[in-house]
Amino acid sequence: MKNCSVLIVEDELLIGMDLVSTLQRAGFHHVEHAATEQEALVMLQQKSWDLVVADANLNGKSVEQVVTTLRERGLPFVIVTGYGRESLPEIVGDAPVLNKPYSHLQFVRIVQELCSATPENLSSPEIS
Amino acid sequence: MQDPNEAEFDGMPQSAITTGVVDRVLPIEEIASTLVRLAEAGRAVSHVEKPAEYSQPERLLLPKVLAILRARTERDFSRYKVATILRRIARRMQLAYIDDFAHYLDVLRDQPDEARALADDLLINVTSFFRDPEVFHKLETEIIPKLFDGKSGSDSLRVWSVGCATGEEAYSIAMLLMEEAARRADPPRLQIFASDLHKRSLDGAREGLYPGDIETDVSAERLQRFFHKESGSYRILKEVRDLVVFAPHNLLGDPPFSRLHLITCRNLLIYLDRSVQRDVIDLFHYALCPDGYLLLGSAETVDAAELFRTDNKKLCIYEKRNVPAPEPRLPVFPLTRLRVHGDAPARVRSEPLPAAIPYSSLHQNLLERYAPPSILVGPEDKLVHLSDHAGRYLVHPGGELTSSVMRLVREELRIELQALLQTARDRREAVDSTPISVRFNGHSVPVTMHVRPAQDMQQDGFVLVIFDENPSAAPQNTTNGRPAISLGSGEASQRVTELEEEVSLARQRLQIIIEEYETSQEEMKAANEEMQSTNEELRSTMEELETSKEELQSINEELQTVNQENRHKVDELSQLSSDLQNLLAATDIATLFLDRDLRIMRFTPRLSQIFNVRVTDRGRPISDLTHRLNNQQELQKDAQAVLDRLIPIEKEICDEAGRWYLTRILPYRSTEDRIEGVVVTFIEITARKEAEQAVQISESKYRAIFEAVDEGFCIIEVLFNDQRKPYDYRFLEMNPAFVKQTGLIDAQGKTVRTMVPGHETFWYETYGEIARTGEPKRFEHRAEALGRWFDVYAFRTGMPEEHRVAVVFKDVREAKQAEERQLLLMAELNHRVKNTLATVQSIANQTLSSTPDPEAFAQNFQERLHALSRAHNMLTRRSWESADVSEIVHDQVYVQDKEESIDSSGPFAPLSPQAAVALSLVLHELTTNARKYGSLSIKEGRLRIKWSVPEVGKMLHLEWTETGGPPVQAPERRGFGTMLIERSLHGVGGSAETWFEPNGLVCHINLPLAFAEMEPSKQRSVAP
Repeated sequence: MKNCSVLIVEDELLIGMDLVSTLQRAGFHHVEHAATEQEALVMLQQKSWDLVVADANLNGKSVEQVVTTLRERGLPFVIVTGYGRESLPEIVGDAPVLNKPYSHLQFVRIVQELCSATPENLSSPEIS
Repeated sequence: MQDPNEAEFDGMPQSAITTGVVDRVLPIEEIASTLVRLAEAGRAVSHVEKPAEYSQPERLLLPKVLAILRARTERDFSRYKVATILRRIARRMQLAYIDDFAHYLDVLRDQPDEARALADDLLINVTSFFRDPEVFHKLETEIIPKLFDGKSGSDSLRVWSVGCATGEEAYSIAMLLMEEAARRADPPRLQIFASDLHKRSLDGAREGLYPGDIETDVSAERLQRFFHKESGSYRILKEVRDLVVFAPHNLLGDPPFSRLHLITCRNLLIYLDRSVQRDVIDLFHYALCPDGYLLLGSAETVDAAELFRTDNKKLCIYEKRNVPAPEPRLPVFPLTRLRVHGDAPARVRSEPLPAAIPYSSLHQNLLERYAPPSILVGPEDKLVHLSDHAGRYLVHPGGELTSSVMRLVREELRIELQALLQTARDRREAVDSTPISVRFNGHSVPVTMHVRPAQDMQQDGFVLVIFDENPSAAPQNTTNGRPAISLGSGEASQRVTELEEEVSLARQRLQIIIEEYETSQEEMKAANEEMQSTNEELRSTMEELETSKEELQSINEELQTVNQENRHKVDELSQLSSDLQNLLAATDIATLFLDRDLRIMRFTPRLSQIFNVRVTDRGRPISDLTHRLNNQQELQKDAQAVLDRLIPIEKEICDEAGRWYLTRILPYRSTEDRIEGVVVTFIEITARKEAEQAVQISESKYRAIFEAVDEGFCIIEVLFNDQRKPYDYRFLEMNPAFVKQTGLIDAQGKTVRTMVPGHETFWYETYGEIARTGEPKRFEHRAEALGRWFDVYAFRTGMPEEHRVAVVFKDVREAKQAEERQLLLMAELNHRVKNTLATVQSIANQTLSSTPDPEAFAQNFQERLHALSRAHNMLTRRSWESADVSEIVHDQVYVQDKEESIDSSGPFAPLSPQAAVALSLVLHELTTNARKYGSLSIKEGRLRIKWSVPEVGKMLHLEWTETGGPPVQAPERRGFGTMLIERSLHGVGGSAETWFEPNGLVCHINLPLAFAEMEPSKQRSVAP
């Protein structure tokens, strides 16, 4: 669990910082924050991640590009949005979605569930 | 004659043409002009009509004409009467518009048709049924019954109608024969030959179709019995037709029919020369059976009294005498083709074969041989036959050859014979003479003459004279003073001598008287001959007259036909006129006919309501009349204009009473295509006019609405494909708003597929359904290709099969866009609120984690919330579109409107809402720091905020420089504030860098301007 590396993609610094600190407090040591799509793509390129938490709207841009990359890599991810699932791009599919404003507890539980899954199953997470 | 091809009803002209008297067949429009030309030519030729004026050249040219005719038509007219031929030629010249005889000869030579026409013309065809009723009555009551007598079914009765023309005469006789046959128990077979040279007439005769006017000639009973009525004409029944054989036959050239019982040849001989007439009579004599009858025309007579007995002089009926022809010969065919061509071998006449002599002939021969010699004397004392030795009693005197018995018989017998013939003929009884001494070769022989008249009626006038030479019979008186008786006494002898002298004297005297008598007789004879020649001339004149009469009759008949035609035309005209009257009255159209001077010629009753016109006003100029039209001058002017230009004028005019008329002025064209005036019609159209005006008013009202409304309106025709599916529609009509509402210019008549490619199929289907079902629809739908959104009400209009749909619509794009924007805004607002809440959550969390002291937390948290709130306030003022940097600085940095220690300046630089919020929070943290620890914490400290836009429209560069503050002191730990300053701009594409100069904190901020990067994304967000 503690070795599970998580990338937070969130354009609003405050929220991003909040998410990072929430996970850190929950015991995740490898949590980093990307503020733009560009930054996120670069970081995905540079390191390997076990899980990605991404805001649906990155400074007015859809998260679509990032999700496409995640699908290609088979990485599990969680989408954070204030709009609701119906406004998300199609490629998101039935990936878990966290609605803003979120409860820290719920957020941590989702991340923990996804990280606890075996690496083989990461590509097809089962969320109850 | 009108051309039947052209005539509506061709019956009349057709039947007229078949009569053969028609000279020309023309289309009706040429008839008039032709008649005029004929009249002119007629004037030129008319002087030729008088035979006395025939000039010598014409008589010389005539043989040439006849030669041409012979060559062209194989008919020889050389023995026709010259006068007749010249008259006919004059007629042809008139018809051909030729007034010069020599010229006509050229025409005749060059045009075979003309030769034929002349030949046909020479064959005059005048005939009718039962012509000369008296003659036919005689035929019916006497001649025909006589012909039937003694004939049974095994015999045949043969009749020849010569020159039958169109067959009326032949049929008339056929009818009489059939009637007679019906009265007989065992009638003979009937056979009628009808011949003519004129083939066209024969064709007509064969057709047997006669015009209705034969009713006047044929009794109703006969019409019923022998004719069949056929559309106003009569057709001879087949039963009658079958009896008659029609044959082209040249009486003067072809062998005749023979063994005939009746020949009718009426008004044919009059055209022939006298010599030819004689030949023809011979021919008829030959052709007739014994007891046959010959029927001639009223001016014709049989010269040869020895061949025919006059049965009835007035009716010209002759009976054949059963005598052989003067020369027992076949009839002469005066004009046979052989003779015409000349090169043919001489006619070979087969010698009659020596037939077995019948007993009657043998008996005859022996009688002649052993009986006393005899001679047969015809009427007029002509010697017609001699027995074997009769020549003994005849001596031909010197001079011209003669057949007169009075000149031939021996002188001694002459006086006695004359007396005897006279007596025998008068008394019709046998008379004998006393023996007369005749000197033969010096011997005197007493001869007794027995004169026996023929007893038979037919042989009336024929007398047989038998010479009986009986030497034993002593002549009663002696001649030459030779004493026949010897007397004894001298006195007696004296007396005898005296007597003898006396006798001799008396004889001499007698001789003188006889000579005187003979002289006077000669004179008488000469006078008689003169009379005869006069008579001959008279006959010629009569024949001429008859010919003229025939011609006159033919002309008369033509005239009658023309007259009848005329009457028919008049009837038709009056019928037409009354039809026209009724039509005009019925249509109630006021019509006015004006002549070239615009005088009233004619008008219909309805017209008096417009003009004050009465029948008596005819001939008055139109301008004289007061009338009730508003503008009287105008009508007159228009009529004149039509006359001048011949272009019809149509106008609507109004009268004083407010009634409207449609006036049409047309040129009046006569049938000769001349302009004779104008025709003006007035058709009342008041009701229509009123309705029209009402419609106009209502239409203009609705048109104004239609044009003025903001809604687009159009009528479309939905187009269906083969599968009856709508696939397109065409704009038929639209209002001005259409263009505004659709943006389509000049759409009329075009289809939507050509004008708006990519138009949604929805539109075709919807309109298609409306066109099909007729149910109106209201709906809203986008038209992507037009970039519009329409609110539509559509309904079917016109006939269902026209597939027309009227569409009222309005572009609601803007309303729709506003709606969409509102929805978007709501969603955005929701999002923002949620985001803001998340932000607040984060601020709370972060603030809490960095300031565990509840009082400090409350202070920090409140201030940060305020900063956020100020940013939101500002953005709301700007409708969340953008925010100016100076405003943000003012809001976040300044506590009061103006602070001496703070110096801020820079150009207008708009920021996106997100960037604005981020910058607001950053500036808030910087200000908080500055006021707590930095240059603003002491009075002397200064803060300078300068920003610029180094690259126009792209990036904002802002420098935060603190000076004069307390000694700077870098914090040991990077707190939440620092982190927020340095990193929160990252998410909106910007950056911030802080460091501590000896004079105080410095911060450089770079931030993208609004509409730089944001522009494309913003545009995208507008799209639905």
